[in-house]
Amino acid sequence: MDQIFVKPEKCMGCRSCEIACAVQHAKDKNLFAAVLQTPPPMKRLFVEASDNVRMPVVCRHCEDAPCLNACLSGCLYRDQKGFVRRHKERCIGCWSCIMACPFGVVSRDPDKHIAVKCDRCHKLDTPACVAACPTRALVLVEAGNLSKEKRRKIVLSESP
Amino acid sequence: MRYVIIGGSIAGISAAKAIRTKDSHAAVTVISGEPFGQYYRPLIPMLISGRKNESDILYPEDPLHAEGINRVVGSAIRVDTNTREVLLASGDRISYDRLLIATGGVALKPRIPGLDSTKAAFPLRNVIHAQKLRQHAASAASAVVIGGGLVGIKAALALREAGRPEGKAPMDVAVVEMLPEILNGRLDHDGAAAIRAAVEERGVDIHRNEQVKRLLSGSNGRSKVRLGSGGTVDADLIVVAAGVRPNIAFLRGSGIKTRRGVLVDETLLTNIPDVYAAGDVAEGVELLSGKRAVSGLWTNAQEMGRLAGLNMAGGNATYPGFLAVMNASEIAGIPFVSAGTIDTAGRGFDVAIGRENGKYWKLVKKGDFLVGVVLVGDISRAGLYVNLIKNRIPLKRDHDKVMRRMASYAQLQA
Repeated sequence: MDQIFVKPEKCMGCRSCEIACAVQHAKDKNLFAAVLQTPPPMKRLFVEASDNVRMPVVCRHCEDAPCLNACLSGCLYRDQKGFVRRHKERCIGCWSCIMACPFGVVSRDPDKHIAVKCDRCHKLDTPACVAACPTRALVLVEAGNLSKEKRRKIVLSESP
Repeated sequence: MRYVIIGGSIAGISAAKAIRTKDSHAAVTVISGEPFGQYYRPLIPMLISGRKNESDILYPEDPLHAEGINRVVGSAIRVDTNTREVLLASGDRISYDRLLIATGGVALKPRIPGLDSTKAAFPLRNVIHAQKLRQHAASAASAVVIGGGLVGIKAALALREAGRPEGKAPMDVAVVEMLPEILNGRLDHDGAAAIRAAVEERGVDIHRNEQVKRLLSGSNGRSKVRLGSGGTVDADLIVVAAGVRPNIAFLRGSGIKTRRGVLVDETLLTNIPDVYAAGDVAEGVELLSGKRAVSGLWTNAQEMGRLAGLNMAGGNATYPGFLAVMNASEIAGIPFVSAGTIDTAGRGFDVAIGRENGKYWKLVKKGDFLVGVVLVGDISRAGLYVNLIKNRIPLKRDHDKVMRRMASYAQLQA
């Protein structure tokens, strides 16, 4: 499974990824329509900043996913690519997934009363957030069967 | 190796899956009391309101129809730990090498004169109860729910919403709660009060500090209940939601140690070798108090079942314990999450409270540890706080931000 890697040291906090994510999840997938859509489309990742760190916080599609374990309606499932996704129609808005996610990247759609999370842009080769990042703070790494350490080296080798 | 699991709800299902993951040749037998398949138990109130039907709440793929899993519909009436057999009500015996008790809970039945003889009182624990309530709801003019916990409040709202014949108004629904506030132990006082106001706005009468004394049969076949304070409330239909106790009666004489529930150690093992217990039937350890307790929460049952399954299949996983409070829900349009220590009055905790536009939050700290969270109205990033509590992660320089409800993942990593 390809994985999105985050390199905080490269993040400028420009929020291009957030915008690209929201547009990708809008009815019409272009910026102008997305801006005018009511209610506005929701982003699935969050650029966060503290005194010394800036980074996009993105769903990890965890191997032992707390959100998936906590889902009590059969909404969340793992697809064939390994992504944790929703059967939207099964969500009852119990928010167990929001309570369980230690990254805080599952949100509540206040209009539809269902949970919203990253679907890894499963129809695209490259997720919208990765494609939009101007500094390559978000990169897609072919994880395959590589060990954690090897994946780490790949990420480090891409750093300047 | 013959694995037998008594109970086909979330703890049992999670265990069966875990056993098969770890031991792909395992033969797992699950004894389920649910005749029409495995379903998501927390969804049964939605059968009453009509938001879901029976097929909607079944698992998308029946987890007990998987390879290597044999589902037996039946009810265990005895466990013989010497011969390693489970005796079913049908007379069948099932032999095991390793056994999991995951029989969940049964509804408590308060001693109220008239409750035994009426045909219009039901608990809300399984699909059959929900179906009965839905049927009665079509013709009843009024309902009383005994107990203002999560199940009682959800039942009351579902009855208000329940489908009615053309032209019939929603039924009158009252909740009778013994304590001064509803959702005791699930939310703190202010959080529960906010939810109560929203529930009342949807037309549910809530009687607090009140008890049902007896059932009265009224005129024209209409029934009433007499309250402790003397008044009466119409009650064509009664929902008994006065709590749950572990389903352990069938273990009498088995040698398996029980107190409130089945006593388990940190590997979910009972006092008898090769016999494990998980879920609402198990009495484990509450994380914050370190005291023995029964959980009764779905997410905890899922976790316990999975770890018990792994250990039954030769694993060595330890279960540190559960939080007695770890709830997420949305009631009457208000989302909330609560976890850890939530009732703090006069107990010497550091408490921070925020209110804004009808939203309410409370964060509770003890020393360097976050020990409690209540989020009502805005539940964004609830998991950050719950994770800090559950995994006992000490706060560092981030004390201030966490206590101002401004925790972010980036900042917790810094």
